[in-house]
Amino acid sequence: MNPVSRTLIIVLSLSFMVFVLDLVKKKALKEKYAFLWLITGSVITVFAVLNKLLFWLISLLGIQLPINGVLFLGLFFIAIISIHFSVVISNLSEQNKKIAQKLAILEIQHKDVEKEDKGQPEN
Amino acid sequence: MKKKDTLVIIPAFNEESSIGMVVDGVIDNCSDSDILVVNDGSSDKTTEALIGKNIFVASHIFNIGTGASFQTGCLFAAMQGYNYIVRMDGDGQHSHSFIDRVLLPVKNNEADIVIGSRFLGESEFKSSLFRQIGISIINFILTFIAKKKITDPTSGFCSMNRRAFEFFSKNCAEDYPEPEIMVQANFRIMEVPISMAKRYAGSSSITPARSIYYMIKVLLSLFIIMIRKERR
Repeated sequence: MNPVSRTLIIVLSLSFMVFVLDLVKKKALKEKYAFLWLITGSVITVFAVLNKLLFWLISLLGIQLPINGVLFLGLFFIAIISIHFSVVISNLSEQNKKIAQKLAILEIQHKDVEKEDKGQPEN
Repeated sequence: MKKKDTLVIIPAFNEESSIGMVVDGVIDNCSDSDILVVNDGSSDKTTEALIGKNIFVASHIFNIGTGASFQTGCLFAAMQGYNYIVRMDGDGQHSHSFIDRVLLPVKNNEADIVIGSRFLGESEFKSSLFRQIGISIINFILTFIAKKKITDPTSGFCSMNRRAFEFFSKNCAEDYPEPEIMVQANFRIMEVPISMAKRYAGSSSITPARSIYYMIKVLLSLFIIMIRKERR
């Protein structure tokens, strides 16, 4: 990998991680969801710094260009993160549904209680 | 709150022009049932159409699907301690005159779930080609899994006893409620013939593109139920 692209990758992934940490600090992102992004960032940084490790891995996988190895890793992590999001969204929509259902039922009961209150003579 | 033994659950999404008539029909003809309309976040005047009627109305604050609406009904029925429920559509396609017929086998403890089938007996219901193909594929697989012939698995007209609706208050698919019901939890299922009227108004939520989508989803969930069964 040429030194320029190597430096670029290192700088980008480090600033990406700083950005993620900053979001967590500002409470715009929960630790839980920052975790996977931080792993992605650190793995890419590690491979860019330890060039030899990357070369060894890609020759093992039969990939010709080192940069393709980095891209492959990136895509792999993004796929994992997307699935993780789908799971989170599924949970959220289930909880959302339950809230709407519970609210609808509580509303009926609430109206009923109100009606009873009106029916009784005031003390 | 609960006054009767049976709860008629009517999921309604944007049915302002038909829901009033449907509810009146049930009130006039089924004096031994309470009625719950589940308004699934309608954007039209569905709620207004029900004002002044002596029924329960559960309103979802946003649209979450027919399956979830039915589940809300089951939850309510379970909390209030009803013994039987009937589910019917709010668009006028299901006639109140069949409620007794659908309910009787459940009350006689001959079945846990009774489905009103459009394809049994005298009815001459015709649905779109797409839907027919979809229904026959689902039928085939269902017959295969449940080892039981169900002629109309996508019918929305059914009745259940408490064991069945308590189960559905806990487990329910989101917007494709009907077919996979049949294979779950080994309920005794029976079908009775009903006929269906044309919709009073509004349009069916099932368009050709949707039927394909619906079918794939149903097949997927049937498949998943099958895998789960084997694991047990």
